[in-house]
Amino acid sequence: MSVRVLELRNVHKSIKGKKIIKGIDLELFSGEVLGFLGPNGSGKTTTLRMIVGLIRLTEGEILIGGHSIGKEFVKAMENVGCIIENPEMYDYLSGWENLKLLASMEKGITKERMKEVVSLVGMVKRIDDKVYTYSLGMKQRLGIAQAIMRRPKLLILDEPANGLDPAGISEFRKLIRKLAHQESMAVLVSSHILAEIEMMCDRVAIIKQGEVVRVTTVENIVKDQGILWKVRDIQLGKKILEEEFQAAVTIKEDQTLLAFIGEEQVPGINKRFMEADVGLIYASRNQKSLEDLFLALTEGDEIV
Amino acid sequence: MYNLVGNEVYKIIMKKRLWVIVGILLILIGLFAYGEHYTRERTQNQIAERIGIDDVEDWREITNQQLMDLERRLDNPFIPEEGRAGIRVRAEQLRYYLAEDINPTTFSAAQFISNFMEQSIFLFLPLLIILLASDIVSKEATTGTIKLLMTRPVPRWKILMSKLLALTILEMIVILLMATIALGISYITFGIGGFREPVITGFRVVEGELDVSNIQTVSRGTYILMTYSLGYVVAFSIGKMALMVSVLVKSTAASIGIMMSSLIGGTFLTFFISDWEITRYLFNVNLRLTDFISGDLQPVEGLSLGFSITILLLWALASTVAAFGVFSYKDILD
Ligand SMILES: Nc1ncnc2c1ncn2[C@@H]1O[C@H](COP(=O)(O)OP(=O)(O)OP(=O)(O)O)[C@@H](O)[C@H]1O
Ligand SMILES: [Mg+2]
Repeated sequence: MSVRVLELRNVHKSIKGKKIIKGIDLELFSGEVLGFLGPNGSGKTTTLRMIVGLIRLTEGEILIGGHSIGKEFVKAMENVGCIIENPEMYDYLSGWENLKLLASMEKGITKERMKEVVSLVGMVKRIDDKVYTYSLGMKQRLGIAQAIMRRPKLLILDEPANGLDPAGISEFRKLIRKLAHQESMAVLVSSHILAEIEMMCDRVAIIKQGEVVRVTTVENIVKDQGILWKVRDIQLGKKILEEEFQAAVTIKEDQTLLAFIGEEQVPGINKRFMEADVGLIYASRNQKSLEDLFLALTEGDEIV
Repeated sequence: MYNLVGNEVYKIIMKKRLWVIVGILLILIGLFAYGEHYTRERTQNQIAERIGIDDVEDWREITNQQLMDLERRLDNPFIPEEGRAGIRVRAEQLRYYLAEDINPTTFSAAQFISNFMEQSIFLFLPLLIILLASDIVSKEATTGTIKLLMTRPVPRWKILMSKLLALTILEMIVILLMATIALGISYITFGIGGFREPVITGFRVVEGELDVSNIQTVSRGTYILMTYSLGYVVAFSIGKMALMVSVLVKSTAASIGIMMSSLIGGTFLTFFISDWEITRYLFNVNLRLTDFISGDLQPVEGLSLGFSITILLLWALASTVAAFGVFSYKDILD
């Protein structure tokens, strides 16, 4: 059974008189990965900072495991592991010394657990080197290690894939899914890499100018993601789709036809295209469904 | 809490700031010892030459001569009244040494150690402490590691408290380092220990006159203990002020700059407006704590040891309150 781990109620934040977050409501349950998407400057980092108590709320409330971050900081933070923006560590200490130092600040993190997380993030070989000799990706891995070390109920990651190599990203994705689905952690991850979010998350929340404009499951996005046709005679193809199959059709910038339609109809449509001599080149699933949704929702947005 | 303080001490040591301080101390004390040794020898030789004796070891002769020099200067009508007071005090001290049969010209390792603190307490020691304390919070803010600390299940006040306690321990270590390095170097330079020789303390100046009613004789060892304890009072309060600035200002360079300029600027201020009532409440004016027990003149009249210590501790208290207030409530935005 999944329990509610994080709850944001009508959260507002103003910095120096400027309204940055304008009333966010959000819930996160154990065992799920929520992607937090938004253009630059939309307030992702600001929101995550409020969740982990780095900055105060101007209005509203944030509950972690039922504890208010403002009023019961310690109890709330016992449930949280996080990386906010860059994975900063004490660079004059080794990776292991960093973990030891942070572990000593709370109860219950054993040496075995520390070793376990070090191997989980694939840092066994370099953990005794000083952090200033690490690459960005290695720092990121160490950051993830310190975040999951206390087995948090809630894991907050601000652009964690930043700096990881393709193999690292893939491992990271598997790790996050494993933590969520096997250890029933709730994970809140912000990112710009939409394909990444699509593969990793169960739900996405899209934020625009300090407001959440859409929360939806990835399953839903993928379900109505639409089918693409590349044909020689675009107008004829469009006409057939609209008139004979009653589909809503858009012509995309790369001169393909996009229709939101059930997969089961595709063979029939293709057959009709052949008969009508539309010149079918290929038909495919729309892979960039999240990007389309994201751009549609945040379109024409100026950075403010 | 014990763990947290341990962590903070560990961080300061691993940052190697302490080694920089040891390096500075070695070089500076070495130079100071050489200079002291050199000038001592020269003045003794000069005086001996002038009064035509070969035996520079006869301290009564030399002291008498110094006394006569001072009296001659007192007869000089061109020396202003403020200057006269100082000369009069010095002459009075010499007379006292002669009467009590105490040799003021010998120079021992112990004497060097206490002299070193007397000379460092108002500028050099504060600078070392500023060097140590100024980056204690600001460095975490610039490198971003403050986010690591503040997202542990530990209340913010405990984090600052652990830093404050670690700093208080390290202030003590700096004082001990000063004493040990001074002892080591002066022993090599001057040879004689001299921890048992008597020191006269408790001279006071009241309206330009020497007040000898509170005079006490203590051993040099005790006197060293007294000066270094006073040094700790200065280190303690300067450290807390530097900590506050480190909380308020994000950049370490700015935080060192602010502390240094207020330290040095304040000292200048006392030259120009020493008769302005308010200057006595500045911390800078109250740093020369050892002058109260060594009998040197104070820049601002009417200060006393108790008053100065109280002012310093009040500054430390106010800084600590401000530091905790800001640290517990501030937004960590970057
Ligand atoms: N210290 C600050 N003072 C004033 N405004 C700030 C400050 N920090 C952030 N902001 C503003 O808050 C808004 C949200 O910033 P935030 O860092 O949360 O965006 P973000 O969604 O994380 O962007 P990005 O994708 O670039 O990381 C921006 O408009 C930014 O200008
Ligand atoms: Mg951001």
